[in-house]
Amino acid sequence: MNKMAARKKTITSDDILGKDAVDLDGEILGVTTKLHIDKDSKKLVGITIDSGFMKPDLFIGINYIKNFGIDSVFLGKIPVSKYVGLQVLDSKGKLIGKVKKVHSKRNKVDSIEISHGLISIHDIAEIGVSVILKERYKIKESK
Amino acid sequence: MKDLKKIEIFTPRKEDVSKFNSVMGYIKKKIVSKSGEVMGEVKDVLFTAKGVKGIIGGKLLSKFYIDSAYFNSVDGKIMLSIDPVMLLVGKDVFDADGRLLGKVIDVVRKSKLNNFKSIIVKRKFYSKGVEIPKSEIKTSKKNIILNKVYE
Repeated sequence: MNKMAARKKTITSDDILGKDAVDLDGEILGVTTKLHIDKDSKKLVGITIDSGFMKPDLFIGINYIKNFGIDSVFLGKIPVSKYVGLQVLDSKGKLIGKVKKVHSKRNKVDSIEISHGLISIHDIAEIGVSVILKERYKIKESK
Repeated sequence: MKDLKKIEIFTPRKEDVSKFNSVMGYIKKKIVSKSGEVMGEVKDVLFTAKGVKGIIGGKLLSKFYIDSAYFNSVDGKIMLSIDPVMLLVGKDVFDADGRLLGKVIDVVRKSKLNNFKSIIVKRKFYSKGVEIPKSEIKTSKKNIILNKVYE
């Protein structure tokens, strides 16, 4: 590989910092504010994302970064913590509560915690703008 | 429908009339898409002698018709079984290289079904819109990510 080709493949911190971090859903999680470099290996190990006012910063490991794009950094996974705060509706649209905590296994949602208790992923019909539960969740609750 | 105790009922049916829904009860109900987005509220209900056929919903100046075939539940809110394609309007569009191409300003639909042919994307108010076919869309959830690089 000649020097020109190698230079084309190299990017600088300016190409990453200040760019939007976009997850697999296309959601902009925040702005990249820091690069984390391993002192010994001198390799990039991750980035910090500023998620906005009153929200904690997110650290994304290098293995979860898909590519450094022109206007954004694409992530290869969906951080489950982004679901915290979403409204939880039953199958009829009634507000049950808000997501307080997300329990995950291998970065996949296993259950969500609301003020009523835990809701298993098997009782969830959809996680999008809100969390919508399956009809059977209500049957369980009434027992 | 409640308050039926106060009125005289004339019906040859054996069904419990109090379990029927009132059309008035639909008005102003929130319409929620499959992914949980509130699309607006019910402005009108269209029906034939055989029952409710659909609703006319609205949000600000926009109005839309949703057929009852797309209803999941109508008890509390109108819960839909689809994310209508018009919800794509306003979403950011990124190409495969992470370049922000702009926002969706229009959706070119195929038919009256919930599918589309392409989206029109604009970066700036005065710029010319770019038509992107559906086949080039990789993800269309919170925003849109394409499977192609646009120069």
